[in-house]
Amino acid sequence: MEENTDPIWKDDRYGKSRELLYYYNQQGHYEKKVEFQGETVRVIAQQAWDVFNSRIEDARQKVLAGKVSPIVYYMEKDIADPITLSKMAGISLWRVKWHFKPGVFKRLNEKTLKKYAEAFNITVEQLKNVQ
Amino acid sequence: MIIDFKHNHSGHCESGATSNLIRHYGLEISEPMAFGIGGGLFFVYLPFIKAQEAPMFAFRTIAGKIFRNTTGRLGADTVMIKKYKDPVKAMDELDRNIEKGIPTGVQVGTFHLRYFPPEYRLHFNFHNVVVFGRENGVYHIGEPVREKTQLLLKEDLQKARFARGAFGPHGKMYYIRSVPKNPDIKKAIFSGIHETIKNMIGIPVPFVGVRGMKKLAKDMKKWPAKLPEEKARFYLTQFVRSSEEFGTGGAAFRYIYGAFLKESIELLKNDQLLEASNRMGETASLWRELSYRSARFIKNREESHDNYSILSEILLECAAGEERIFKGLAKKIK
Repeated sequence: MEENTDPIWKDDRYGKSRELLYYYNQQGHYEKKVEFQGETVRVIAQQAWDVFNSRIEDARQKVLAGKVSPIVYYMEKDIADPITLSKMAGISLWRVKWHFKPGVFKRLNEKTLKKYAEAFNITVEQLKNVQ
Repeated sequence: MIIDFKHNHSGHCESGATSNLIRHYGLEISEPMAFGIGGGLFFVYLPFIKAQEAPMFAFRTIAGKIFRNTTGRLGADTVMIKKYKDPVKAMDELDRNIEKGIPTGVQVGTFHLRYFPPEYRLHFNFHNVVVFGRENGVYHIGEPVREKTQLLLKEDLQKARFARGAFGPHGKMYYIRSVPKNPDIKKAIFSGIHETIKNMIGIPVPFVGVRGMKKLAKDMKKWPAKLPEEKARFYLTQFVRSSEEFGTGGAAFRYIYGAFLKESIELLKNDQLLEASNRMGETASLWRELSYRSARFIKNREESHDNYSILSEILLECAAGEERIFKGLAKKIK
């Protein structure tokens, strides 16, 4: 059992796990192969994460410039969109979008802030302060 | 308690979990078999529903269907609890199952599965794993898309089972009570194929099945003219990602489905499905070509109008291929 089980609490193993993939070969047979992700997936994943990371950085800059509330930054950081965030925090979609305004965010009560903090798995202090 | 459960590495989460659960009860049902009998193959393109600011693509039926259909068609006695209000109760009932020696499938959100690399931990709530053991607050997980079994802390498993966000799993869990020794496998296979025929060519809506593929091909051609360059590229990225990256066994499940047809031929000892099986393999290779070319265009930043047209042509060919396959199948199996 022991050696057949991957170690726990090791987060960073991207590309170190093999996937099971199916193929159809020239002889007309299907086969299974266990292998690392191929070039196609690596290129595509890289491209997607470049986009996500630039969205996160963009949101961070906007928060620092006081154009949007920190909620936008944490939403992008979690690769969520307003609909997902609304379900995560249990706050209606239009209110979530309303809270994107920095002025509105500053006046939010503790209870609502806590809902967002819980959804993002951070403290209210962290939610208020984007570095 | 750790159940003596044989974990088989799979291409796709739900068909893998289903196959592993059925095999635990002594019936040899491979992953492609579970996928095909469950009628897993599909195509959906929803341009008006945006996920992460790109249209939504799906290549399989909705989560939960494969397990329900496959076990139902094989005549297995199963239990599926769709929703729990209380997470504590949901975990207690899972624990009780494990004590009784019943490996149990649960639907989870991938965001809380710590054994995945950060790149996988998105708010994706349609993932399926088998829980087969528990010791000191650590659960043993048969993670279908991993070679080895995994460990997960109780708090993380509970969070994953009650992941919030779109289409949350609400603690859904399912397990098998018994599987018949000699089910009518032919009936099960044909019934699964019929469902896929209906899904792929029988629904008169332009967004699903072969019609959806044609619609996407038409739209894809217009992306470079209609959208800013970055956005068109991102649409294409998300399309290839959902067909290749997220546990599809490669080429948007088309290889798994072909393998199911092939295995059915061997099992039923009848050649009715041979043509469809071969064509499916060829179509799957076209899908692979589509992904490969898209990735190359994206990497070299050479997605010109011409290149989107090439991709659109390939997709049209895939659509034509699948239309032929399912029309042929509809005639052959009545």
